[in-house]
Amino acid sequence: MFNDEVIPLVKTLDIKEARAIYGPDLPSPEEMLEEPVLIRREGKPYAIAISLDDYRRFQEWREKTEREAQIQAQNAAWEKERAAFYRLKPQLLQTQKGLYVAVHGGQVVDADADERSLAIRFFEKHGQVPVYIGLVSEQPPIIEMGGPELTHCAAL
Amino acid sequence: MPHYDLELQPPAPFTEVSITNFATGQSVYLPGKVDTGAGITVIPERVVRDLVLPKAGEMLCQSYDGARIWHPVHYVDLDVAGYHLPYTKVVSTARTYVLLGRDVLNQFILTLDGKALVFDLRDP
Repeated sequence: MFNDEVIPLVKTLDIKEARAIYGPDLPSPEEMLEEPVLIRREGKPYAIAISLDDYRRFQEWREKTEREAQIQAQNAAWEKERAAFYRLKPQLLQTQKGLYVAVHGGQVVDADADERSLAIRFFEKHGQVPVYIGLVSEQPPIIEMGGPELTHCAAL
Repeated sequence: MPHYDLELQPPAPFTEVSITNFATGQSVYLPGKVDTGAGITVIPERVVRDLVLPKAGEMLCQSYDGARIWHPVHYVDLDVAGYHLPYTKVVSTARTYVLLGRDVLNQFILTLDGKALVFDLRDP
């Protein structure tokens, strides 16, 4: 519940009309920057005024939280496609060995010897939806990563 | 603009890279190190979070010391030195800049002049 008890605010501002916020009781901008101000209308919590810096921080936090939720949902959907690939793999090794396959909705929806062609075709047809694109092979291919980079040099 | 980064010792060739989520159109710009030792292009994990890039596969990668690690695969639109490369497969790792691997570099004519510390990347 949204009330004074659970929101430990120091300042409050009671208004009855919109113009009241322009009245002499309004905390100064300097005071508004110090801490959130609870605005009450007819004695009930109505809104909270916070500084622009606090609002920007809140926006950043909210965007970050939304992005993390989106990524979690994406990962969960992708894990299902990945699991489907490995479930189907034994039979794919019999029929599509050496090909790249696109698994979407728990089934193979396309295959190609060229991975890039397959990816372009898939995304242009389906858009950015959950998919597992993988090579049907007994052993996964191993790709080289970059070499080491010096992070600092000690003077001799 | 292709240039050698003299902050690294020895200096390394870098060029600006734009990474775009093709579904949302959101992009980030980062320096990309030309790395002919890498078999695939690598982007920072932070970019995956910022652009909300979904996984689309996984890849077993071997580092210079023989260590093998599975990394998530993503498909992004890359712009490298003014050239547009749609639906490019990349892997993500904890790093701050992009590694441009041979998968991307082999689409260009790459001329490295280490003595003069200049290089050129052109689309044939």
